[in-house]
Amino acid sequence: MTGERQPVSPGALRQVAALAGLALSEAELEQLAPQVEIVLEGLRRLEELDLQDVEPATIHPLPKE
Amino acid sequence: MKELCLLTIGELSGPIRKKELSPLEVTKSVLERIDRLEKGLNAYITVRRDEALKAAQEAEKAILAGNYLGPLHGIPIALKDLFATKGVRTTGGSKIFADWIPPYDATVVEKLKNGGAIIIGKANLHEFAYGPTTINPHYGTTRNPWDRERISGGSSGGSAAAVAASLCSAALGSDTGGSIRLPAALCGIVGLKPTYGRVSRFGVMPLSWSLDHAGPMTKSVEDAALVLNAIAGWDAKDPASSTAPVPDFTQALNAQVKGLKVGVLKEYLAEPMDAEVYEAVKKALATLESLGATVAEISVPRVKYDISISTTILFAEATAYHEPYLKTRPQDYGADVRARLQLGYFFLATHYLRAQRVRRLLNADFQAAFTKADVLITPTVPIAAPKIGEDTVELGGRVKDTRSALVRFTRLFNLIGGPAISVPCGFTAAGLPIGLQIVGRPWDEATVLRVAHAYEVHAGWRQRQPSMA
Repeated sequence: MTGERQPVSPGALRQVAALAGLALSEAELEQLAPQVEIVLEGLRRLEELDLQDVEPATIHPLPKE
Repeated sequence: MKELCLLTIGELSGPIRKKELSPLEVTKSVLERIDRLEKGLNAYITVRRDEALKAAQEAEKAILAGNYLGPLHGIPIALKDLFATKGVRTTGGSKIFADWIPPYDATVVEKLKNGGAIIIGKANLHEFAYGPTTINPHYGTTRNPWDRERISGGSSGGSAAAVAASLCSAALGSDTGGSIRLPAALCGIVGLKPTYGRVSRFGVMPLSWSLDHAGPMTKSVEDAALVLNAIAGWDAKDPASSTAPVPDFTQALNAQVKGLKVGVLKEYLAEPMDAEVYEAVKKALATLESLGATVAEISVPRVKYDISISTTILFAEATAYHEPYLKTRPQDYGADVRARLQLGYFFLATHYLRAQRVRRLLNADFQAAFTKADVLITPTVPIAAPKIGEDTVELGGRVKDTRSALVRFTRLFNLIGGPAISVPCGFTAAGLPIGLQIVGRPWDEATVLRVAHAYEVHAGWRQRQPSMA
């Protein structure tokens, strides 16, 4: 799904923080917003890759005994 | 005659074994040097003066009685204060654990003690290992022995500074994104991140479970092999621990690299870095070629995703571990670590899994790369040690965040998990150390140590010591 990228707003972070049970001040939310955007931008670039049939590296083979 | 504290484990262990040198004299030499220099460096959170002297006396008695335990017997070792040490305050560099006295040893600490090592103290670190500078708001900044106005790097900065300044014979560090290798590079010592699962993580405070590694920080490659011999091996208490056989890593140290294929990671060599770092790495490659190795560029295009993947995994795992404390005692974290931990809440499980899926692709890419090369080489850090408080650096004509620059070349190898070592490969005109990173196939520490040792012996950088006047 493509669309115009929206910058991350302190309001959006406030909602997520509330869901996570995290108490953050407005100043903290404003400071975090651009840093979240940077990481999300990197994650968007990962969408370039075809991950069909690629399993995560979290798979845990069970020991033999 | 050289002071005992300046000698490597390799130089000390023979005379100790032959009863020509007392472990007590070695420990006293290190403690005297700590008395003189520690205040100006702040490498330690806790120094165990009385306990170390007592342990050294016991080591002396045991060796004289014929009970020699091996090359680490009687050797003073520092532990990053992330390693649980029974009966000894283990703070994690934090206020949260400022008074924690573990009732158990980390597995690697137990192994060192069983080998007769003398635990000289607990080294300073970036709070909870979550940063590359060791500017610690609770225990102070660890200063670089080569220039005390500069950082030692991190997060194992205290361990690196202690080894570089001979305030111990060797140290243990941990490495989640470069925290052994980058302070080793900035302080001019050897730092080895072994293969994931080679060394037990039990009793090492976690930062990121799938990225954390424990390993040696030493004055020489031989010493790194000796310490790795002591600490490697399967541990039932670490779910990531491997039953892979543990060879004698010192057997690899034959200074021969003829016929070995050295790959230079093209994408990293094209990254901005200090001109002096670039030149030092090029000269190191030329040295390896002169020793008979072949050097060729290797391209791994998907390396461009390394920071995104590493960041997502690190943020999620670190925040998950710290969740109980972050919610109840946020004010007790330093501002930088608290902010990084808070960031971990803002990404989805699907983001984390996407990162782990791309990680699997990268693992396959490097498996393929290692069919064309025996080792890969990069600079360890694109810059020499920044000044304390220098939040930005200039790289390639652009202003970059110092923290991001410091870990640029190291984080990838926590993702793919193979062994990676930093060895000194020169100095800047200002006299600051430069590090060369040598990376190997999973479980092939032997080849990494072999190349590192050959380079170290022929390049001769190890002989240069910081002036500690």
